[in-house]
Amino acid sequence: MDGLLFLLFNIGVVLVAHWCLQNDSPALNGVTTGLFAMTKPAQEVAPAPPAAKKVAAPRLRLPRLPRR
Amino acid sequence: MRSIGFLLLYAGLCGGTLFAPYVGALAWIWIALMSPHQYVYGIAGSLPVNLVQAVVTMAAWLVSKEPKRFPLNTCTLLLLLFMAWISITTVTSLAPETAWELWQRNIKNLFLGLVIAGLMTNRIRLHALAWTVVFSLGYFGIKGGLFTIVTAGGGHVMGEAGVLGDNNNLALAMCMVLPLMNYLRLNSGHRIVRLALVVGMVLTVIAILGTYSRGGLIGLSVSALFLWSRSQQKLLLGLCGAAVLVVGYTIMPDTWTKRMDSIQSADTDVSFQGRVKVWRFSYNIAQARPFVGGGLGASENGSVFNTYSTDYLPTGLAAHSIYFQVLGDHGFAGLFIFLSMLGAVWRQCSIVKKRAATRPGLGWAVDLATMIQVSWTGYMVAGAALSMAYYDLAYIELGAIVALRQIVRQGEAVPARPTPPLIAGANLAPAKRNRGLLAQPSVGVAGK
Repeated sequence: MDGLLFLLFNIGVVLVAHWCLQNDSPALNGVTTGLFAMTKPAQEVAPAPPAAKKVAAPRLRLPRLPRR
Repeated sequence: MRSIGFLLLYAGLCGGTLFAPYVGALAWIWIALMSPHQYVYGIAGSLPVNLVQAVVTMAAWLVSKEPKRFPLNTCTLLLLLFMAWISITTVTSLAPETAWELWQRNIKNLFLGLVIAGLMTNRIRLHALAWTVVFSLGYFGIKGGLFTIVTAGGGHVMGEAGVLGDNNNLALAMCMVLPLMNYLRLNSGHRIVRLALVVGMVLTVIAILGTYSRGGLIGLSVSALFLWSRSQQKLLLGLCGAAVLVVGYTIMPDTWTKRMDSIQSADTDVSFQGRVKVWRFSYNIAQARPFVGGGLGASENGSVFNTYSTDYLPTGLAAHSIYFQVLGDHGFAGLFIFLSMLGAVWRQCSIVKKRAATRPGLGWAVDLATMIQVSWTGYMVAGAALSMAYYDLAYIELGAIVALRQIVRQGEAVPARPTPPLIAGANLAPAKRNRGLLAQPSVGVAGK
């Protein structure tokens, strides 16, 4: 019982540190989540959604000035 | 098995320290407060983990992109002055061997305060600091509370190693951590987390009663009264406090009641009379050496004690009061710096509360400053009968309030604007704001 409590509280400290690292430094997210992600089974890669058709922006036509 | 588990966890935190030095500061707090390496068998127990962690954290800070400075204000200046004064009185000590040994141990505690002031630069880090302190000391509170209930108050709650090996010291540490548990309760998003914290607080109160520490009981009572006077939920908090006290008194046996009743007959109490002897010694040595005192641990050296005391004790005695400890160790000058530092932290808490209260999104800072002030009250009251002038948690709180003041100051400089939630759905996240003042996350986070 004592050993279990001891372990739980110590793991708690590590989790707090991990939480802080993830939320405080977004640049490190990739590293820390990557370490955890390695333990997860591979997932099927979903097909990428079709790219939206490019719509040409309407051209701005200025009225021609009358020739002198 | 425990040793391997500890080393694995510690190695993980060391890895985190290399990425970010503030994780090193959190690990340092954990090791300083809980001393987990002293609770395991095997090689980990003999390693100087605290020193290693201090070196790793400082090295990581030096090579990182974090700013290498800490806010200079009254608290940090007084802390620096106190560190310098301790070093001077160690050089002039009457018992140099003991003094240098204690200096090496204590200067790290004081330096940790400066590191925290420099590294805890936003709300997330301070929130993680509060959790780390609560995990480190909550272990003793929850375990001790369960032990007291199971033994119906018959068994004394004791720490097993380090500073907390003494029941009085453990009671003070638990008195100081209670307000931080309350801060986390006020600022946690999940109901289960809040409930767990309430259970943790109740068990910690029971554990304080279970230490049989009279100083702990006085500290708890004063802290509770102060917390109640600052609370906006006076009726609810009063009822909860009364319920816990009634349950506590019902559980505790007659031996406990007799021990606590002896507070009223201090004149005839042998333990208290021993304290009076050492307090008299501290005053005498400070009169003889008003600027430098006797040096660290002077009262525990038999020959020094008997030179300056009117009572004879073969081995000397621990100071048993933070005030007389500093007076005997560092003279009237040292006591003046120490008292100024205590006052400065108290005032800093009041300033933060006042400034943050007028600003939307800084309600969490008001909560944290209030709870640090309550914790500080416990330290000043219960510490009056304990030798804990250099206790880590006091300097951790000093560093935290300096860092908090800086965050609030930055928040004042940035115009208030809505920012995205701190963390969505994480168990350790601050609340989605169940209280008016906390309706918006901190500006300090956005402005980090």
